[in-house]
Amino acid sequence: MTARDTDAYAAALAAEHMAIFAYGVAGGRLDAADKEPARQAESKHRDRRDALVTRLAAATTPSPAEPAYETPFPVVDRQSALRLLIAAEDATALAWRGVIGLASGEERRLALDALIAAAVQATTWRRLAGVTPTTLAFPGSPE
Amino acid sequence: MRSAPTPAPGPTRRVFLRTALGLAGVGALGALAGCEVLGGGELPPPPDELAGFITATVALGDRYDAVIKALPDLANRLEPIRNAHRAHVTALANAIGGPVPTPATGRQPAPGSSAEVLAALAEAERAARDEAIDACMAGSARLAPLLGAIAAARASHAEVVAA
Repeated sequence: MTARDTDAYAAALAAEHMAIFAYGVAGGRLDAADKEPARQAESKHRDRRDALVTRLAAATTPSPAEPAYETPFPVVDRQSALRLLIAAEDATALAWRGVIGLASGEERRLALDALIAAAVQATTWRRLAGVTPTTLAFPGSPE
Repeated sequence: MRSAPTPAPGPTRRVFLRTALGLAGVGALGALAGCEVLGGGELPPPPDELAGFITATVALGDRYDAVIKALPDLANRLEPIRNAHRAHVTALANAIGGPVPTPATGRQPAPGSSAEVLAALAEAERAARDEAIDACMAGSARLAPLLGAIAAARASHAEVVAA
């Protein structure tokens, strides 16, 4: 793993840590019907975090999650909770897109699957939040 | 009232948004690194590397145009997706240094009810997603991130087009 690879995977790990935190913050504000999809999405983020920790451990000491992350806006109701999850999925997509070009084979497929999952999950939350458009032309691009 | 936990004090505290912005920088670095990491070993892609993929992407946008023309009630839902396919064509053409192909006009939409037409579009998006996944996996380090984003966009289209 080159230093560049390590940086890209570390950024993906940071995004996954942040996403897991976001799901924890948002969970209490979601409707009952939102909770199962949120639980499944959070579980996928935990799986990806664990996969990243395993990969990074061969090259460096993977950074643990921060004790807390300051949310970009107060999470006070379902709408702001959904917006936080949209921001978290978009940030995750961005980080994984940074891995795709550095990786090949199985490693690239891991990053690609993560990018696709984040884009689809962000679309689900946009739809439930009534945010339009519900899709982005280039998921994972800084816009 | 803020329900977010009080952030831990100290220099390592990360601000959510700032982290996201920081990741944008890393993403850009990754894109650059993709060009450099192979050094002189990789020649620029031949202009036809993605020619078939681009042609299929143009056709997908044309298909939306035809449906929007025949079923204008669906325009609000479908125009952003059509525009995304057009943006993909432009980005792909720019990435390989080729001309941006012009959309075809006058294509006839498949007959059927709105529900049937939307179900067919969702199926087309899933097939197009799989083509983009294959292209991303086979693509050069330079083109793979764009192809991956296109695969992700198509996957999300499939979720909403028939929803």
